[in-house]
Amino acid sequence: MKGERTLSGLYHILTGKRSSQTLQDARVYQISRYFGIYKSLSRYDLDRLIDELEQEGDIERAEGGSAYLTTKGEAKVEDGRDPLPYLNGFLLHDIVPQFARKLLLYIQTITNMTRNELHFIPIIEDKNVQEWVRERYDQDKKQLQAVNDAIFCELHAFLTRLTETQAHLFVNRLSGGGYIGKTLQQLSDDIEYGRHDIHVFLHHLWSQLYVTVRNETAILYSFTDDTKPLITRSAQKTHDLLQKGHQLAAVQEIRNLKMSTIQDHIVEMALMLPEFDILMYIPDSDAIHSIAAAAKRLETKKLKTIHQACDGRFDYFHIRLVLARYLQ
Amino acid sequence: MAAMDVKHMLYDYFGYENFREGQEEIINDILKGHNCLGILPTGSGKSLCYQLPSLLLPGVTIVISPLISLMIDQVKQLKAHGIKNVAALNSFMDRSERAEVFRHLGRYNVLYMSPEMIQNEWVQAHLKTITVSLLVVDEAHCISQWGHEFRTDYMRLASAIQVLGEPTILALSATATPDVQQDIINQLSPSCDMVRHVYPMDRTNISFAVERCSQDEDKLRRIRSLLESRHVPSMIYFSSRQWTEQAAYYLQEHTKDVRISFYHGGMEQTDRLLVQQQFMNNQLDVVCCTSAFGMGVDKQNIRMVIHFHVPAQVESFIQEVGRAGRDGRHSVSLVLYNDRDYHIPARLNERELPAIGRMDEIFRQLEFFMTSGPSLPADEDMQEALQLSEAQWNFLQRQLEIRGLIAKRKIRVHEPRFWQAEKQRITEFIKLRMQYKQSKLTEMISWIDTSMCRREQLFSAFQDTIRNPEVPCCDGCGFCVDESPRSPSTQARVVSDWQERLRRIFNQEVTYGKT
Ligand SMILES: Nc1ncnc2c1ncn2[C@@H]1O[C@H](COP(=O)(O)OP(=O)(O)OP(=O)(O)O)[C@@H](O)[C@H]1O
Ligand SMILES: [Mg+2]
Ligand SMILES: [Zn+2]
Repeated sequence: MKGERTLSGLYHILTGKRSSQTLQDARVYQISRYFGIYKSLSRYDLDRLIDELEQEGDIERAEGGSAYLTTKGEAKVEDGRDPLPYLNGFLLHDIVPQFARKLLLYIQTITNMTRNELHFIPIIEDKNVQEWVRERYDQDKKQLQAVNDAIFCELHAFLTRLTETQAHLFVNRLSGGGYIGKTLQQLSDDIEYGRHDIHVFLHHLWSQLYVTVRNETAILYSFTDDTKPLITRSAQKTHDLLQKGHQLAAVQEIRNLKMSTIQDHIVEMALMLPEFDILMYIPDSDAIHSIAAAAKRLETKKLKTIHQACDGRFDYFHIRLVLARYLQ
Repeated sequence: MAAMDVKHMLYDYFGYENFREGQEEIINDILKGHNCLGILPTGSGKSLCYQLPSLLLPGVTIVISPLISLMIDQVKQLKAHGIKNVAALNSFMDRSERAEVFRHLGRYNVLYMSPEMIQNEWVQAHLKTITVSLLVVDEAHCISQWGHEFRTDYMRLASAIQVLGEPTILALSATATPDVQQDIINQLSPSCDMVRHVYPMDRTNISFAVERCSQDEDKLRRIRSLLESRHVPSMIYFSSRQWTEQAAYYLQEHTKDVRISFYHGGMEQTDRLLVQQQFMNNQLDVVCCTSAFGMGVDKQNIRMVIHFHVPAQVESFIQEVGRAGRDGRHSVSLVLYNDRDYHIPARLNERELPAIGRMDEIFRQLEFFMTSGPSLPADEDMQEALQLSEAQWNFLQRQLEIRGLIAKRKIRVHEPRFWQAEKQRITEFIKLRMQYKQSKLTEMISWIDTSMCRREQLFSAFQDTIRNPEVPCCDGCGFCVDESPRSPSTQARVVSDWQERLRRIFNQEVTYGKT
């Protein structure tokens, strides 16, 4: 946050504390996506993480309890590449964990029941979720095996699109069919990332699953809350104007926003709304091919590297769009 | 209720063919409406003594239990057995959850509650509207063992019982000396009409041993070689959270084919639940834990309970060792002791009580608060201002409350001389408690130092005669841990491929095979 806001502010954003200052911070600094993604983070742990970054020389603390990135740290942020594109804390910080809890408990229930394993201790203690799952289970009772197999197929299809590590994390967190899921610590031992990273990775995976199933007619869709929008209200306004046939420049004028913000909105749509057509915002369909090919060949998602590899023919916005649509 | 019916219920609801020692006798007495004191060893099935009657009695069975985690576990287990009308009321529930329970109060078979909860006037008002048939005090030694100190609410149970319209009372414990037993009866049943069902508390399937180690590293090495050669489900007790984590890492690094994790009160709720379930499910072989993982853990096949650090009293030790061999098969208790370990429980004891040398200073501070407003500041601020740990402030606050100087945070007495007088009394009381705790610790340590039969010494304070063990007795009688049971390394296959794990979770191999 460029040293202008305090670490307390950062803490409030990550833990999703809704004060007006927090909300304003979240908007101003373009970090609304991180809002509330780590509710259980303790202040102590955050301070230890900041200490580590400081020791690494990535950030420096400033007076008044704030911190800023050093040049070394900035270099590490990898020229704007986003390792967690599906995080959308501002919209989904409550919805995604709720979706995860429902599905986790439902999977535990159905995989036990189809095996006639009637005694098991629910892995999710939330009373409302238990109630929801119980009702859902009653509805599905007559076709348990079919539902079980369908969920397997959908999850399997989703997981094969991820990296091996991501799929490992996701599957090993599940409980059911005689298995109890792993703790954050155990997952962290498996893939040698810190416990807090694991929390964020998992949150991101569940967000990705959420967005994926919201856009497909699938059995998992029924675990989501389809009354909630997938893109921010501001992006939605931009979206509506574009649908009405306005050009980018006109939209910018009407909305009185920076062009970079409008571009952020379009990248958001490319990621979250599969029916959104990106071709209109890209020089030609060959661009998609060139960018995708460069990214694959160089095994990178670094914007700068891809930009250079394409001899500077496409600007960062185009590259981000293609990555968002085809390569997440 | 005919004997046959009770036995049918045992099978129908709990799936057991026969009663264990003591259960049938206690259950029959309860059903006849006799108040009972049940002293039965750890893991012997005390819970069943009220769970079964609760299904037969017309009204609600209320169970007072000291630990929230214990209550929640029991509720889960009952529900898993298909007995759904159970709930646990505790102060961690939010208002709507609690209201939900009260709305259907009369419907419950079993209602678990903390002792604080049942003192609450609002709760009592609700309880008056229903019939309470049976009141159970689980871990009843709390009334005496520390009831005078942290569990004042356990002391006041007697008056709460009056409000409930004198239900049948059942007090249960696995660690009560004859003195404590009498104390329980005196407090819960002033007319002393409790039927005593006292059974020997020694566990005949557990062998005891103590080994001296000069370094912590030696302890770790010893554990490592035991884990690798035995391959049995084990628990290892430590005095601090940090130690459980460090030791778990060391042992993970230095053993092969042993699945190890840690458990302590500082972990996230979900992760605690997962570790416990993995252990129950035999996905984990070893848990390095603090005393937070103890009461309520009911895994059948734990073969070895190792104490890396000893607890501060024999009763806790018996409780912790009581996790072993709940299926009745041969199991082992091993204490690894280093003479410097003595200081660990001693220091923990000190941290629970305010230092006597600081009482003057503390009361000067209190006087300041007393004169500067009608109420004391919030707990955290008090701890900060008085430089007391949470436990120390809790203790002091309780004392001030019992002695009528404050009510919650409100100051009731404003004259300094009364405060001075109570300062003297509280100081005396602290001295007494210190001595008491010290003597408990000495008892624990002298058990470690003994060269005689450990079984005899451990249980002699609780009962007159010691039964003949079914397994090697103790190192005093010639037992050596290296002769303890081992299992033929039935290493469950670790599935590291996510595709395969997912298939197994959803039972897909089978379906694929068929088609
Ligand atoms: N009649 C029985 N036959 C077989 N198993 C039984 C019987 N009664 C109880 N059990 C089992 O014995 C185990 C221990 O029971 P429980 O938790 O009630 O012990 P406890 O006496 O309360 O022990 P602790 O003092 O450690 O709390 C449980 O798994 C229970 O299901
Ligand atoms: Mg018990
Ligand atoms: Zn002996």
